[in-house]
Amino acid sequence: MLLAFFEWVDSTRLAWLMRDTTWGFAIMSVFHLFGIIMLLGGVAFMSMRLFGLFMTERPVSQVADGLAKWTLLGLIITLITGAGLFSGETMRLYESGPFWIQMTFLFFALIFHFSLYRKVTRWDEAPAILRGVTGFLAVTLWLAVGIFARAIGFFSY
Amino acid sequence: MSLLEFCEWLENTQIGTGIRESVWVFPIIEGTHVLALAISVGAILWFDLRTLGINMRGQAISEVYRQVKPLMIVGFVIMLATGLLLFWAHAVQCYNNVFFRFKLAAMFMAGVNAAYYHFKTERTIDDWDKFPVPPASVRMAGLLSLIFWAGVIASGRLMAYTF
Repeated sequence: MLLAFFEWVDSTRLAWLMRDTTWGFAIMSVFHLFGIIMLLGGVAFMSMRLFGLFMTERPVSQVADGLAKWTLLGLIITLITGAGLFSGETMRLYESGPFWIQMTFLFFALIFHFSLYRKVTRWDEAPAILRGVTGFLAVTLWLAVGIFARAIGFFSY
Repeated sequence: MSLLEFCEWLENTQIGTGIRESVWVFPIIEGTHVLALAISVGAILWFDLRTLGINMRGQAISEVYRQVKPLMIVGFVIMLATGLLLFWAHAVQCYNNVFFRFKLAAMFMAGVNAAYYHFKTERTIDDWDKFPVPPASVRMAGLLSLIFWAGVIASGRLMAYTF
């Protein structure tokens, strides 16, 4: 079932563009990186505010106001270009250990991002311990996604 | 000694060879280099968006700068240190790579733009510090910074492709 999905992706026009053209995959990965910088940068700064290390004289919700939409835009760019990159090496990724670990972390990171993280970054009276835990989880989860994503290229094949 | 000969000598030193041939050291340095991007270029991005009058308009430009500066510097130092180690391991390939030359040029331009902003444009900051949208010369500095850094990142990613 999952394998059939992978084989279907592999047969699409997008997969051809990513796999068999000289610059398709390379250009897609550049935009993937742009998205990652916006996403990880946004999460890093927001977490530092939660830790009380950044823009401390501003309420948490106000800092979130400035960062959240850019972080979301970064996330959307990262996911779309990530799907593009995925299509270019679907069958190899099916066999890749780091890829499945990345997807697992991504799954949890997304759930966390739109639940606890969203709530705590908009809640000015949140207890310090909850802020600390949220910031720590945000950095850890997204960093894990990034580390295993990078590991795909080094340790898969 | 020509520049190319220097690169050949550099990558064949014990450190250069050691980084290049190790299973773990190269990926860790490379991964750190990429992740440090999110901090330093992330910081630059937030500041540029402020100077463009797009984001955090309610905060003084000097305040945003003061807040992001430490992270900008820490991230930049990590990027520079890991970048030099990566270069050390692949100096000859870098020398021969057109995107590496683009990258150096884009970094140089980003540096010139930042210097011009800090030494010239910023002198009148008291007049526009609290403006939601600052004057054109300030917005231009922010826009150029975004363009040059995007160039640095794109050519950095593409040089790894053409190795």
